[in-house]
Amino acid sequence: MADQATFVEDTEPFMDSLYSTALRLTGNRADAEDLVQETYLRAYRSYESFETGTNLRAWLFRILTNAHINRYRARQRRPEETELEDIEDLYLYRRIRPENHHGQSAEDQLMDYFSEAEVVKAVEALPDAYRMAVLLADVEGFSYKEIAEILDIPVGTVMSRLHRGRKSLQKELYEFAASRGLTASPANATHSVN
Amino acid sequence: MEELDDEPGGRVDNESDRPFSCNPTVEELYNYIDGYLDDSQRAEFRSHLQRCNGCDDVYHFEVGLRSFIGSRVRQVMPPDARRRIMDSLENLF
Repeated sequence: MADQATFVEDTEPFMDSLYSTALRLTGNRADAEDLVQETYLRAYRSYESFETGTNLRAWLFRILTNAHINRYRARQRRPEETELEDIEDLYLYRRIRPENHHGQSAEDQLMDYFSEAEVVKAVEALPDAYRMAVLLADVEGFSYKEIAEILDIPVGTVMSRLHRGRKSLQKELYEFAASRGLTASPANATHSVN
Repeated sequence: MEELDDEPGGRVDNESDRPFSCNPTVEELYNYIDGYLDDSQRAEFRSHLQRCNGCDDVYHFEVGLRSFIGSRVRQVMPPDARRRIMDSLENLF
């Protein structure tokens, strides 16, 4: 059983990563701050039921994602299968990498192609359920099993959402590059691809 | 959460899942990156990457992409908001 007296000290280290996730789930700073505040208040109230020694970070993310789902349930749309289906694997790699890397590392090449704002837009374009899986796995580094517990879904569903969410994210990103004829992002004009 | 129509479990393995015409599937690649291969599968995958420039480039691209996305998406909590939350918690004591 956890002690409320140590709540702030125990949980404060996770505030940035909770905020980061909240920001990408809500899409704006004010709602993200509210969501983190609600998460901390709920967590504080039920902290005595948290079992010390278990995964505090995952427990906080579970409260955060539940609070988000409850708030936005009305707005939640069912992902349209056609939106996320039929995207081939390695979508972005196949389209931008083999002929165009000029000997650059993947990260340098990606930095030239995509601005920070485009990455954020691509992430925020994912349907909620897929966005949560991708953020938890690829940004926060949770395991499939932890994500299954956080979102209260089977591990197989986590894997399937991740697989589709990752492909869909690659396609969203590719579309930014394609819309300017596969050239570097104007926001990154100082790093020429040539 | 609303029920989604996604099928739990793996996917159908077919030729289009393979990055090139060689052995590893894209699913194996992601399992390798995510740390879900057992010791012998991991060793086998690693030795394939050492021999196959194509797969090695795909591997570095996917790892680089993930790290690139993460670094663009992460933000720190604005200090004023952090203070507000801490204050509201202290008022509960």
